[in-house]
Amino acid sequence: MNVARLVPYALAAIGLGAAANALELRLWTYGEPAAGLFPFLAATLLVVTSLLSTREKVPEEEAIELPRLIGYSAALVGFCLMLNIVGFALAALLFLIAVLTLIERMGWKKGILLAALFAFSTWGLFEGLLSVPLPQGMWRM
Amino acid sequence: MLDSLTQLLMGLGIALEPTNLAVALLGAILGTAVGVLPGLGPSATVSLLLPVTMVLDQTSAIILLAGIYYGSQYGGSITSVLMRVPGEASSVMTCFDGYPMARQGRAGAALGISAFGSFIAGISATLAIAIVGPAFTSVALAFGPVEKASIVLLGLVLAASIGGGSRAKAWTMVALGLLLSTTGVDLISGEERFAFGISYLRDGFNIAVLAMGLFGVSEMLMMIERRSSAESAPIPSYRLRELLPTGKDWQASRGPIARGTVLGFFLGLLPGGGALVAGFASYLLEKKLSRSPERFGKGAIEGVAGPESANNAAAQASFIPMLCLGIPANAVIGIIMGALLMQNVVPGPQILTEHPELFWGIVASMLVGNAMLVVLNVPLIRIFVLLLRIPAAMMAPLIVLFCVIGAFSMNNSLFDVGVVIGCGVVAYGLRKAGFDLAPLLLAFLLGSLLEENLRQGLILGLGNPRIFVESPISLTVILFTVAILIAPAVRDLRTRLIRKPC
Repeated sequence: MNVARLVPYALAAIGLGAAANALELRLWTYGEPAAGLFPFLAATLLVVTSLLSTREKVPEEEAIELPRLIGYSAALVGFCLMLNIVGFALAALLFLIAVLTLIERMGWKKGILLAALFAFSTWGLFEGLLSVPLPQGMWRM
Repeated sequence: MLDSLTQLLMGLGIALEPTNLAVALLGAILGTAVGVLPGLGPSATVSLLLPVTMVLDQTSAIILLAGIYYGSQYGGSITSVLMRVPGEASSVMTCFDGYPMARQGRAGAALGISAFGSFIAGISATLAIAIVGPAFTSVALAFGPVEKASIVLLGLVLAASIGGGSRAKAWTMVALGLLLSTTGVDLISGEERFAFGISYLRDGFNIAVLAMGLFGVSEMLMMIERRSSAESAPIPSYRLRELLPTGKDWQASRGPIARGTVLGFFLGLLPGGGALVAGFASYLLEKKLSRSPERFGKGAIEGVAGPESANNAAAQASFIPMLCLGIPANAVIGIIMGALLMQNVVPGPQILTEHPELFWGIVASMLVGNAMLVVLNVPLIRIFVLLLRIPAAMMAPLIVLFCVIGAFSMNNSLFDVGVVIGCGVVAYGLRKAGFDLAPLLLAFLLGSLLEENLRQGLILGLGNPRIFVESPISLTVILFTVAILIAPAVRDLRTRLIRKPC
């Protein structure tokens, strides 16, 4: 079964959960709309339209290089986690090295050089020149 | 009118003083940089420069801050066109057609029409401010919560028609956008909604963070899903003459620029309207008026020319409610109003009589600033287009870096970085399932406006929804909305009846 066909069902389930949560906030109090009214209406609309969408055609699946996509997604997650530990500059360097050398199959020397160039010039531009605060991580780098 | 033009000439004299020319140029350069870099926003830059304005005189201080604001409207479209990462929230609409144009090797035309459109709109809006602006502020006050709720509802119905794909899917995205807009503390009752005890969610999602995730990160994932797709981008030409819009482009853009300017000017006058809604309204208008609406979202130049002109016209016009009524149209204008207060100038109807040199100096400086911006930006198109030479294999991780910097700089929070990446992955899944993300983002933008005005309207009407049909403006807009909603069904019915043999 095409995984994309499950998306409208997942959205309908989110809508049902949100509607139940909105009901707990109450819809109408003291003759005025309460906090739950608008989310409830939005969630109900989501359930109805998602269920209607299940009858629609899903676009033809194009061939995806799954290992490539999984590799990139893992690198993204790793990048986010590393930001919290080693800060922007080092996390960006490691992320770019991983992407350029392991996923894009660039040579190690060229990959590391380009990664260092992009990571440190971006960091220098924003943190050094423009004083835009970037994540420092637990190591305060 | 003659009096206004005389005053404008007096203002030009002030704007052309060497100090004011220098601060206008500085503001224009800073504004363009702020617009281009996703890590910086006009609100942050204007706030950072507030102490600097204390050493300048009143008029020069506001000319500098105003230059940054409308300069950022120019610059914000550049990354939207080249990377599908909106530099500013108001340039989200430019992504829809500007980016496909760049993919077709027409980035220069998109950037050129955006710069010239913004220039024409900026100049026209400034002249309109001088002639009719102060008088129109009283019209803006006729729009209360009831009228605004009806207008936003109309916008929402139109948002469902903006994307490609089926109506059911578009409405699903509208519903999801509305639901996302309710996250955080309810401003009327103070109750938390869908925050699940996470303190970062108490303020809800930031529109710019959401836009970067939905468009920037998801585009990056689409770019890298196949090695071949990462290598298929066309290499553009680098001669400025070949990069600029052609005669055919100008012909197609004339109407959208004119309509976008008028629409943006009026929406900019409405407090709470602002540049963001103006771009969106212009895009919808152009799509509705087009003889071939199916081109929109695939690289229609009208989809760039209209919203960019509307953004800039609204940015200029939004100074009027602040200066003449003391009502800021958005956060940046609010900070600029703070700068005026710091200079002991209280904005309000008396500003025209008490500080004419300030009011007309600012209005005239907009003419000068817009001219500077077009002179600065057009030659730079060649350099910006060079960015497209970066292979997709390197462009994709760079988009991630820009999105991360942009998201983190909003609140100095790693949670926002997680939101950008998370939204990007979810958006990729939605795109793969055939959902268009444009209605989602527009519904998110309009959702909080709709809820706020709907609830305020109901409170004014003591809980009776009849108040929405008692106002003539609101009733007209509601009837128009209903007509748009039932039009496709009527069209279907008519087609079926014609097909059926008697």
